Amino acid sequence: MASQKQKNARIIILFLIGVAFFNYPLLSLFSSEEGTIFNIPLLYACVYIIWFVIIGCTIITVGVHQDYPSSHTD
Amino acid sequence: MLQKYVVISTAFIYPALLFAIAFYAEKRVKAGRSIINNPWVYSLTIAVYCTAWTFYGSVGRAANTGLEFLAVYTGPSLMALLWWFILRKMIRISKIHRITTIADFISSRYGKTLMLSGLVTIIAVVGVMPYITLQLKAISTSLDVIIQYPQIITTPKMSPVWQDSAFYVSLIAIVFTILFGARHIDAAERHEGMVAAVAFESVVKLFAFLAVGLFVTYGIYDGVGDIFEKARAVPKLRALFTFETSGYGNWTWITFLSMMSIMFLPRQFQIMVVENVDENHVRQAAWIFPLYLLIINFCVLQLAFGGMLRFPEGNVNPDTFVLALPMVEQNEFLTLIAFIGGLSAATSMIIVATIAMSTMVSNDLVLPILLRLRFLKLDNRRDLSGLILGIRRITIALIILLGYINFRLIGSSYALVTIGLMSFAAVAQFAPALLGGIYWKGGTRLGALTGLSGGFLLWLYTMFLPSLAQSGWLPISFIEKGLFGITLLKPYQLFGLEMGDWLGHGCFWSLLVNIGCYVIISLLTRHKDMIEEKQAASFVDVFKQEKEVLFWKDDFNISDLKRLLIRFLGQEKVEKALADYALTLDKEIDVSPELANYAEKLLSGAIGVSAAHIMISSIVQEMPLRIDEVIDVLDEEISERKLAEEALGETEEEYRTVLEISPYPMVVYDMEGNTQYVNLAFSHVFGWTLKEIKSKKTDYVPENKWAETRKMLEKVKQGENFSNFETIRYTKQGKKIDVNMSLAILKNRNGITRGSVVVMQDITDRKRADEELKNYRDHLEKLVAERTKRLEQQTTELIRSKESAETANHAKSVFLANMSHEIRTPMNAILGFTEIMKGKVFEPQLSRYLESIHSSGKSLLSLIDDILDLSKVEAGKLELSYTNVFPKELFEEICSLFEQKMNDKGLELVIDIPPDLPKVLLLDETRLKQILINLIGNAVKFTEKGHIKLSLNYRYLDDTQGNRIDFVFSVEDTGKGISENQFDYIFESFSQLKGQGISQLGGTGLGLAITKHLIKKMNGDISVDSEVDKGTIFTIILKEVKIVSIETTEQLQHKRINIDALHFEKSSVLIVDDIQSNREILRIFLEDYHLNLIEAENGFEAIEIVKQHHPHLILLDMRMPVMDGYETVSILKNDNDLKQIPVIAVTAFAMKEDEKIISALCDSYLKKPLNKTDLIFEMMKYLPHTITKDKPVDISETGSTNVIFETSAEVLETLPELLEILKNEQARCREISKRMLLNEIESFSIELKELGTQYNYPPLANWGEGFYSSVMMVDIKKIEAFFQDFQNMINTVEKQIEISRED
Repeated sequence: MASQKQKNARIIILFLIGVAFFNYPLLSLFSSEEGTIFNIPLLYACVYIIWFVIIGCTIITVGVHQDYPSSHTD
Repeated sequence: MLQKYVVISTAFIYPALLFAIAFYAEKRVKAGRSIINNPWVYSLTIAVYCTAWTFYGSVGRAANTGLEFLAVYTGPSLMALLWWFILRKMIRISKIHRITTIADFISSRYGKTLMLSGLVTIIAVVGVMPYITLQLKAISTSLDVIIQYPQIITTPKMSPVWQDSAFYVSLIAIVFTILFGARHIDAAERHEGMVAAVAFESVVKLFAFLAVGLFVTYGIYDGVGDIFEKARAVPKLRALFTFETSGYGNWTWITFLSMMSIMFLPRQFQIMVVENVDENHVRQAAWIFPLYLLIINFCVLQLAFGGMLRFPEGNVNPDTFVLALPMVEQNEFLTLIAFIGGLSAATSMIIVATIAMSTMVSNDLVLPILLRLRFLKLDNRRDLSGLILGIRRITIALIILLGYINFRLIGSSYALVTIGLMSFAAVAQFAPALLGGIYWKGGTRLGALTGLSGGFLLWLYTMFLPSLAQSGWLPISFIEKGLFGITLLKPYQLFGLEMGDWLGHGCFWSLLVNIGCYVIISLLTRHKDMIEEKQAASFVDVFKQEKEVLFWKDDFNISDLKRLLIRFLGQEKVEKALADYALTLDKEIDVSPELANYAEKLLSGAIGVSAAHIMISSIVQEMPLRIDEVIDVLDEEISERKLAEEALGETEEEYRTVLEISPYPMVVYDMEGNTQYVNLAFSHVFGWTLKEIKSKKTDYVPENKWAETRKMLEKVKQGENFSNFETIRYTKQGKKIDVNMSLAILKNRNGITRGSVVVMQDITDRKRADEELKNYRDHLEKLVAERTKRLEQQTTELIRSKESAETANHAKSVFLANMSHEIRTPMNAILGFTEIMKGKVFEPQLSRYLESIHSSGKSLLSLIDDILDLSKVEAGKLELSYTNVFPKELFEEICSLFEQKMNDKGLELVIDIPPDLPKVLLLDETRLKQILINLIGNAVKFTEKGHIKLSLNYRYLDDTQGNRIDFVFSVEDTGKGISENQFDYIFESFSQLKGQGISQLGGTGLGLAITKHLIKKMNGDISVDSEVDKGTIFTIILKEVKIVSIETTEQLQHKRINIDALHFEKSSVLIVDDIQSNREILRIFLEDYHLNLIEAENGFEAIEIVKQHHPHLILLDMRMPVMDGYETVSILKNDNDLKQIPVIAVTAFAMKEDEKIISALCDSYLKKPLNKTDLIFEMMKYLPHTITKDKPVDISETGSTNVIFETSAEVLETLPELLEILKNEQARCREISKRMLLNEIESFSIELKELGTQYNYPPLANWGEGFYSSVMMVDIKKIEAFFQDFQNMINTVEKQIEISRED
């Protein structure tokens, strides 16, 4: 089980990854008129997928259910 | 057909539904079961972020710029990840300080100044008002569009206000907001009804949008791929597939702005901070809210491209595609759904934003101004709470109406998205002051003020004013030529900065100035006062703060304070609040800084922190502390805590390791009893892994332990800890195990209980071992008890049987002793008459019979003799009498006894006596002789050739100082020997060696048994070693024999004196005895000593004689008629003349008691039967005497054999018979004299004595008595004399018969 501190670190790493992927220049990698995934433009598909993956990782990290009361590790 | 009235009534019915939900939610709260207290509702309310701008504007923006619209949602989605750190901190701070608006928040942080809160309020109002306008415009537009159904007219003309549905919607919003948003005076109280309604609206807009989106995607087109496929064919649309149209700059800026907005928009602050029920909801909201955004944006692109494809002419505003697409497909239901979705998105935003704004405006702008307006005389009003509520409600109405008016004036001029982004940029101005305020203590009020105002001014200049210019409210030259025509001041190219897009440009400048001013001014200035200093610390260290630093003095008047509170909050609320406070204090309310602080916070909730602080300061003075001191205090406190925290932070992993490797199962629970953590040992013992059990209740308490566990938990909640508590738990597999558990509560650093920890030890094995041990012990105890009982029984039985055996043995011995005598008498007759008959029967056969009877009788007799002897020993009748014994002389004497016999057999006698053998030993001489005679007699008997050796030895005992020795002697022969296996039997009664008959060797087999008994009695031991045909050696050890010293020996030398060689000088002796025969015996004993013997029959007579004759010695019998011995001796000893005459008591019944009395009364005493030697020795003490040596043995005194008695006729008649018996005994006498076995001789002497008594013939009785006494004394010479004298005795009897015949 990850400690609160580890969880917090993971969340911040997740945030940084999110910021990196949702910004130039990484975003430009998918900015293509031709590329598609299931006929969906590459940029659209990729952004939604990345978004979804980040949310998934968040769920894994913080848990679906409510955690126990306040632990002050920040 | 979508009728107008349907749409209109929907627009009114829908708000009614909201009212219903809000009422229901508030009812639930009052019942104590809130429906909003969970992360899902919390996240849905945060979705108030998605307004009509999302619902309609996103599609429009997507149609124009492609993916750019999405940045508005990916930004917040990323920001949600940081909520746990930032948002939670804001929530905590707000709850502690009862902060109700973002204006309060910033103002409170920088010293509760009204200037700052006012500034924030103004920025918020100016920045957000267009946003409210935007919502109203959206509602209005959507209504206009839908009312035209099925025509799609997207540029409606403005209708008069009273015909404008948006106006009525505004009115409904005002009513709802006032009803659910401004009911309580305390803005810090949650608006549960409003929150529930907002959450509901979030659901409605999501479903409505999805429904339309899915309808378009799958109803109008053939799925997502189909839309994009078709769009790809259109070059204009294909261009939207990339970022080329919008550029990355916008994307990044929008992302940034949306990240700020989700935190700092007044409505978001209201929902996320003020309305938050539990700060832990933030954690789940971090993914629930982004997921909501993802879903609601799922169909935006499809709608945009679908709309663009469906309306290629561009005659339909893309902002209305959500309505227009179902309309064009004539789907009335979906059209209505889309309208409701838009309505819900707009209304929820209006309601929440208005509440937030109204609180700000009333608390931070209106109220402070009103309070300062003296002419209103508000100071005099006792209760201002009604006024405050009124102000707030009016503000709500004003804001919404202002929004409506704004819409009517400028609404149509600008696109929705532009207005929204401008608002975003405005609230982004709060970021530096707010974020800096909660993470940087160095941020000062001046820094915040300058930063905020600078940023706001630049926002106005680069964004807001140009928008007004674009709307025609300002000359367009302002944009094109700059302020006053100065090119450098062109709002979109300020200072010549060309960024291509107004948004990036405006944001850059405003934030640059904002952040720059804030940081630089903060660094240059210090906190203005200690409140600011304290608040800075309190905000930044909110999670570390244990105690608030208070700055109020405690010299205020409570009633003043109370009056103040009542003015703003109302009587009822204040009473309740103070009662609650008293309850937490657990005592009466007194004047204290804490009370002032509490009052301030109470007031903050109602009128804002700045106003509250001003109000309280009017009554309570602030502490005149120097700011430096406070800083020092705080710094110190904080740095210490920081150190501790760092240490803890470093060791957390170490603690975890400790827990993980601990062999004891551990569980951490939260306060609800859900498992939060278990270590490896727990998983190992109980079978559950952390994954399985996390956040669940552990189901391992046995049913019968529930009550116990509940009780324990109650106590733990009250702060009690348990240790070493033994109980039972189940494992996952249902196995029962015994545990020893310790339980403690866990508190966080602020002292708040957050759960409990249980440490267990599996003691099943130990318990089982204990149990087994107990069982075993019980069993053992039972066994022991049983055995003990049995043993006791056995012992009792044994004792009883031993007693009975002893009794029986004793009885046997007594019986045998008696019987021997009884048998002996008839046997004498049998033998006697057999002897007589032998002389009269001449027929050879009869003679043989008689011979057989005779020899059998004799055997029987000797058997009886032995039995008698053994019986005596066994019956304990044998008493030892220790005297001084000269061992050398004694052994030589015994050997001389057997000399003749050994010479006859040709045996050699060897005596080995060590020269240093102690001269005198204390031993029982008689018994020692008996033992020696038995052993030597046996040796002689069984040895035909060789020698007999007698050895003496001794050894000193170490611990007796040379007083005692172990006296060892052995008798060795070269006879036939005894086989080893018979060693054990030879000492048993009636046992003789096999093949050894009485007739053959004589003896009864009792000799050695008697010998052993005697030795035992003398504290000794006898052992035998033998080899068949080689010889036998008997070794005797007499233990701890006392050595008699030489002096004592000298004194008692006379014991060895031959009494026959003694001569008394002429003396007179008085014999006192009532029995004539007794006197006679004494007379006979003493007749050789030529003494003058006087006789008396009783004490009385004796005293008379003593008085007359004055004898030299008195021999006194103690039991007599007339006057007994006791009385006599006491009279004598009391008489002065007579008392010097020695008195020797002669008595038969010397019991112990008697002995004492007698020895006290008399000079000495002698026991009957009298022994001549003892008598003479005793008399030697009192009478003068001389000793002549070597006088031959003379036994004549024992009843001279020549004396002829006067006898009666009857006696004479039986005399011939006696003579016959005696003659028959002659042969036996010879045999006995040859064997020299003491017991044989003893019984022989007794027989003769008894014959004398039986035939009433005293000479024989006396002779036998003398014989017997010589045997008892083992006086060998005398015994031999008696044997030789036996013929004389017979002759005497013959003479007596002849004389009587002659008579």
